[in-house]
Amino acid sequence: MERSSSPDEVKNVDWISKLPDDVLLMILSRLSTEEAMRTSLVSKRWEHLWKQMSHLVLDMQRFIDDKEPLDNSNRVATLITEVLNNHHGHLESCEEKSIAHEEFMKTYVKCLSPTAALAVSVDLMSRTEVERLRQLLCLWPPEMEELEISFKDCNGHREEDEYLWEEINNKAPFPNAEFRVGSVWMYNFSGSEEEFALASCLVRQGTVVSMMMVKSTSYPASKKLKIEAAVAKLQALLPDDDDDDEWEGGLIIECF
Amino acid sequence: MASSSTNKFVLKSNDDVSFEVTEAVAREFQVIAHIIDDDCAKKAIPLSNVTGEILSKMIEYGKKHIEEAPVDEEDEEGKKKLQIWDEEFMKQFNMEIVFQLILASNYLNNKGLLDLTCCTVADHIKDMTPDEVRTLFNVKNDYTTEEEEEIRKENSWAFE
Repeated sequence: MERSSSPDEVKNVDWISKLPDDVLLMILSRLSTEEAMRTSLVSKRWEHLWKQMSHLVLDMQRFIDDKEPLDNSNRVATLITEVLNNHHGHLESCEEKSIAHEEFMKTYVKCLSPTAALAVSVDLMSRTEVERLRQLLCLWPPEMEELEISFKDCNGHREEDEYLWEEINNKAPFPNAEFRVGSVWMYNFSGSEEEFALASCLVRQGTVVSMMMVKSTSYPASKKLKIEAAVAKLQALLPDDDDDDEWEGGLIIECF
Repeated sequence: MASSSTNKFVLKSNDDVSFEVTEAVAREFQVIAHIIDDDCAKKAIPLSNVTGEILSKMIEYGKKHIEEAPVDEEDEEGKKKLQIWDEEFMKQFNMEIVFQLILASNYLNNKGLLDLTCCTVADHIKDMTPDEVRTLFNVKNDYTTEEEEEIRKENSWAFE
């Protein structure tokens, strides 16, 4: 493209600012989220444009420091919250990605309505990821509508933090005593100890308000049984109602 | 309905340049397709927002995309060929023409060309500082230093 050789009279026209918002947004959508956000500094016409983008991808890698992952995750969570607070359009999806660092969790944030939904993929055996999840949930606006948790298969480093969940269970509530979420959807639940620990923690504390749904699988049969057994154990944690009437507003725990 | 390869329509630019195109090419532009469907296309179709220069380029694009349309979703080679043609096609334009093409393809509703032209602009903005963007597109900076500072702070995610 003739960036510098266009005729002088053309150079005096600001064509780009004349484009309608939806076209400018198409252009921004071709940029990384950071690049799109930076255009807010071009002129006042551009200040709020990125905030209407329907898809944000926040690249964690830029803030990750191997030596102090926990400090960083706190900072990252603060910055994400800031971005989401500034954003005021209809956000269809938001993806938190950290490609090079597998130990970090991947988060998708969907703000479909004022009350947000969050989807995370987390390795419960990794202290860093669990801590990061805790911080992100604590920073979230008071009530979350929906939380999707997808458990990572972590065959590789089983022994990494064996006592992590025992520790969490014995200590403060997870993520904290105040956090409430309408429904929790769990994917790739295997019924493992740490997954059960997290689920039971959320049930006992009353963190989940209306539904906890656990994705079941029909094969292999042994896995299905294990999941169903874990769900039955979770249901047993619920306060004993004489009649099992779901209409009284109690928590529902089911496979789906 | 007559076959769209034999049916012809005349598109007329706002500076009175007429182009005869096949129905298939005319239908590449959704707005024109609607006019045809509403049976309002008996004579020349006047396009009040498009100059002859821009319209001829749009028709060139539309023709190419009909003639060389990939056979199906799996036709990777066909897609690649068209993509290379698209890139070459865009290289001939200066920024003013690119913006006119954006406005016209937005107006006539040709999604492919709109995507392509937006992509060209985005490729320019990529890796640029806000100041470089202003220079390239001749945008006047209407922020005060304080306001700029405020925005940097608000969006620290992007500016750090």
